Amino acid sequence: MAHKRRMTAKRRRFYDSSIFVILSIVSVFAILVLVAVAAFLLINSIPAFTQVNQWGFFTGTVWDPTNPIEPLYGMVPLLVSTLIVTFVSALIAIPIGLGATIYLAEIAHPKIRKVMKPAVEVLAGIPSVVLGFFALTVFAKFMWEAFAPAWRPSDYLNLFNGAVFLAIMMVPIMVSLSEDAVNSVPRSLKEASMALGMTRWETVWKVIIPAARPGIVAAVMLSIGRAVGETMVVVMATGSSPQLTFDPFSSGQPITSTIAIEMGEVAANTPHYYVLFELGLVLFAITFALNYVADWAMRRHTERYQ
Amino acid sequence: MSESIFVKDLNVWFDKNHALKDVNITIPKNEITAIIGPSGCGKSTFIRCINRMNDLVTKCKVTGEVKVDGQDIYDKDVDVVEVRKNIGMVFQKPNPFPKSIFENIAYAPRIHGKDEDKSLRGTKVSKYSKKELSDLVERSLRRAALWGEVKDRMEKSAYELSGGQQQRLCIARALAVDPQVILFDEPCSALDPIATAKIEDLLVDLKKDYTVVIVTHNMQQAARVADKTAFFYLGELIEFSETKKIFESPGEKLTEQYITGRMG
Ligand SMILES: Nc1ncnc2c1ncn2[C@@H]1O[C@H](COP(=O)(O)OP(=O)(O)OP(=O)(O)O)[C@@H](O)[C@H]1O
Ligand SMILES: [Mg+2]
Repeated sequence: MAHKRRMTAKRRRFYDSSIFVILSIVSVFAILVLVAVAAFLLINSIPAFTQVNQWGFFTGTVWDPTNPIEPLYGMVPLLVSTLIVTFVSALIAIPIGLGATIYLAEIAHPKIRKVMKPAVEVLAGIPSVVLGFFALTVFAKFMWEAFAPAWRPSDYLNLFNGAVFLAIMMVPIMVSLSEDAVNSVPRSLKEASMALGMTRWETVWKVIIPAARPGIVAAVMLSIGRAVGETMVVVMATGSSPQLTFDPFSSGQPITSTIAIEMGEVAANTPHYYVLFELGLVLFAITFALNYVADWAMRRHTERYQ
Repeated sequence: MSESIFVKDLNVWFDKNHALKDVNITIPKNEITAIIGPSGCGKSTFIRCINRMNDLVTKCKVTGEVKVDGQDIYDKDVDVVEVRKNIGMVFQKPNPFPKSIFENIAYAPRIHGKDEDKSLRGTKVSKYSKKELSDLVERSLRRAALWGEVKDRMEKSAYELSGGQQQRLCIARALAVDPQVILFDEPCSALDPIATAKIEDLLVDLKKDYTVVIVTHNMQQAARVADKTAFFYLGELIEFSETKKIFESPGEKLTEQYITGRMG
């Protein structure tokens, strides 16, 4: 009996340590992949640092890499397109996302919530190519004709068109994450507020949302990160013309589209090729910064109640 | 001695679970009434009926009559906000808001406003001035015997306080909306004996101005502070009388078994 128990203890130790080893390998692997991607981007963009005028890259307002006389690699139009698309999509997605979050977490009947939460999460899984296709065929036409002849977008395919569908992708992510944040606000805080004679709304605005704010901020940042990095929708919906424009209703070409479209056609080891990697590096830096902010906000949130 | 809370034929269900059965009780003004009984017997459910906190539980159904100062708080015309302003509650675990000490107290009065006229609720007319608000905060903290310990750090997070201080902050927070009745649901169960003694002293002091109802698992605590004690068992009010009588010569066998710790 004693012998047997010793055996099981030994076996348990073996399981414990092998699980530990497996998990360590997996997580080290995940980090290695991240480092490898970053290194790959960096190594491939290093030639661009010397072969392409860096001042021109960061400040140039013309992106014309295939110009036979003098190729121009100004990333400003691409960056502006990315910023417009991201900004407009955030403008659409944030109010809707927050409204839906509050509805789900605080207003909806528990039965409705039980159905809605998974439904929203499924929405997050719609392949972006499907949304892009919808933007291209249905929504672009709708926008073109809805207010005609009084008003039409400057271009048939335009940045706004892409932003709308990016917003459709952002909302489920935002709702799913920020609903978790709102739900993790201790029930006791809500009861404390209600017991003081606060209405439900006052409680939501003055207690629950402030307490969940870091988690909500993190959710918003992560979904914005998603918009910055999203490619398929913007390739299909925004018209792919790398002009410098500040008009959301004209076509443009965000950074992601540019890489996706031109990478397939460019000859390897040319300046153009290397510059596309450098664009990737810029994108990586933007999303990395966003994720970092989100992570920081999230950590502050969890520390608060411990 | 006048009555403060009058309860008649109170029944509560959570779905099919009949949590309170035909409770009839009259709780006197300016006294401390203790509610005792084994876990799950409906003590919390009972006091949560007095400020209608059970409204928040969707599957909860309440029937019967609960009158506070002569008014039926379950009447259709009654504003539940007014009910809860009039009846403060302090919970088992201290639950300050994640705000500063000052904001914890100022939060409710600032929104309610100082005017009794509730048609003015939320409008500028009834707002406290800055001075009035800070006076109110100070007064509430003094009343809760916490002022001396926090007056130099009003802007600090309430989470920096000890558990006992947090609980007194929650009491001050409840006092700031000027209630008639304060309900305590095991307010000391998360506290050490010294913090508990401070709260008990405070309770005794508070009964001069307020009607106090306290749920407790601690028999000595009930014996120490309560004027009257009610014993609940399986959702029924078994016995309610002077604390001294409950502990020295209980009228019911069940009460005696519970008091002496011989309950199976
Ligand atoms: N929110 C709720 N949902 C469903 N059932 C509940 C709820 N709150 C209480 N009950 C049920 O009502 C009964 C009484 O519970 P209550 O919390 O009032 O007991 P209690 O006397 O306060 O116990 P304790 O001393 O452990 O706090 C229990 O059977 C409990 O399961
Ligand atoms: Mg209880």
